[in-house]
Amino acid sequence: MNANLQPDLLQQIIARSQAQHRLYSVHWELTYRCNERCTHCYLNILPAKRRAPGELTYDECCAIIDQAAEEGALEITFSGGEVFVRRDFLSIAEHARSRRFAIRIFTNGTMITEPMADRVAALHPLRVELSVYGKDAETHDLITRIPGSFNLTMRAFRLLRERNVRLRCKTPLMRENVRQFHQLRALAESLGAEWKYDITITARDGGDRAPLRHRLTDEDLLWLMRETMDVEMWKRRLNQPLTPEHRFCGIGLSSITIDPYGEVFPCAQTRVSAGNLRKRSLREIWRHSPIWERVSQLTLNNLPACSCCPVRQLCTRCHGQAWLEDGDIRGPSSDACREAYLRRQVLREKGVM
Amino acid sequence: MRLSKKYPQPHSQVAARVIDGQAIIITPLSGEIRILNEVGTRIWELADGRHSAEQIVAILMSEYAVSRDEAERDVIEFIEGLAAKQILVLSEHP
Repeated sequence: MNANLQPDLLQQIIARSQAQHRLYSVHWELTYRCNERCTHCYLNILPAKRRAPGELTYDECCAIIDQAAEEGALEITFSGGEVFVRRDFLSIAEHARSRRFAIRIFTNGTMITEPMADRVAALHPLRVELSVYGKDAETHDLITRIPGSFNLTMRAFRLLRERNVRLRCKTPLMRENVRQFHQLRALAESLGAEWKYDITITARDGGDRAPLRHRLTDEDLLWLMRETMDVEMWKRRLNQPLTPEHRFCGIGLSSITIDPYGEVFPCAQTRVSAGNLRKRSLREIWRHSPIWERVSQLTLNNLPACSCCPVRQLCTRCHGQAWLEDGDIRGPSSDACREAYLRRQVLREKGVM
Repeated sequence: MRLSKKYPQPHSQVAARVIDGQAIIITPLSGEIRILNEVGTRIWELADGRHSAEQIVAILMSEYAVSRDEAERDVIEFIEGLAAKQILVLSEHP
């Protein structure tokens, strides 16, 4: 008899969950209210001070957390809007802690005070991820449209760092901030935070294309790719032809997104409802909604145009974005196509293709 | 007080689930993930603050047909190892 411990196996756990259609993670938008008005946001945000009819109550949230725990989910990410606009957010998160969830929190941090930072630290979160849109207040506040927001976010970094909370600084790169790439990375380092950037700016849920004004131009993307291209990684990927069963993401396999009103979706980008938690249990939705089989069939061989695309190996398409912006979940994502062709251009410049 | 008289239970920081008979434990402070094997998972399930280490040994002896020495050695080693990593905490009372 030997009770062995094994090393870090996150990918193995997720892969096994996906293969068995076992729920592993929950992404939860607790509110669409927010105290910032970011120009690029993909959500239809509500003002922070607005009363929020229809949001899941504290008791409803706790019941859902219990159901998710019983269904075997281990990770839970609380997001918004801005989660701290909900006065009961920390109590909800504390219930998740009591059910032994691994917790992530997405926040702008502007509302975090010292007592709140203490409670966040007591949650022992996997990570708190704070959004930073510029190397300084001038850029950041321009994007949030809230003067003073940068300084408040910086304060949150300090308060949480002092309490040994693991931090990530997240930046969606857009026209306004992409040339601050290196300064943003340096800022994250100075804040004691890991830095993650994302080049995807999508239309709003419902199709409003206003955020796309901020999307990186071709010139911006080429600049960024030349600065950051991991040539060795792409060489390895190019040596591994995509199989017909290739998946661009794990949609439908082991994770869900829940909105503030109890609606369950395959992911934050793909707003096709699998059911509502006020009407059906999480178990029933996860195990019996026909949505999961439909979206889990979004493999390369079921994407007619993509399956014969000359740059498919360079593509990082999002099915939800293809549906929202181009009208066909199985069709090309014009934004992903653009990106892949530009990626090929840079790889050719670097002698890889 | 000897370890065998103490009551192990998960540290408040730990995230954990038992899935398909395997305990998956995440320790946010270190960012580490562990998967326990069958025996480790059974000890983990019994380390609920209500069973002393001694009681856990007795239960394992009955469930796995092993000697007391072997069960005791493995249980103590397991509990001490996880306590050292702040995954388990030890109380003097249930």
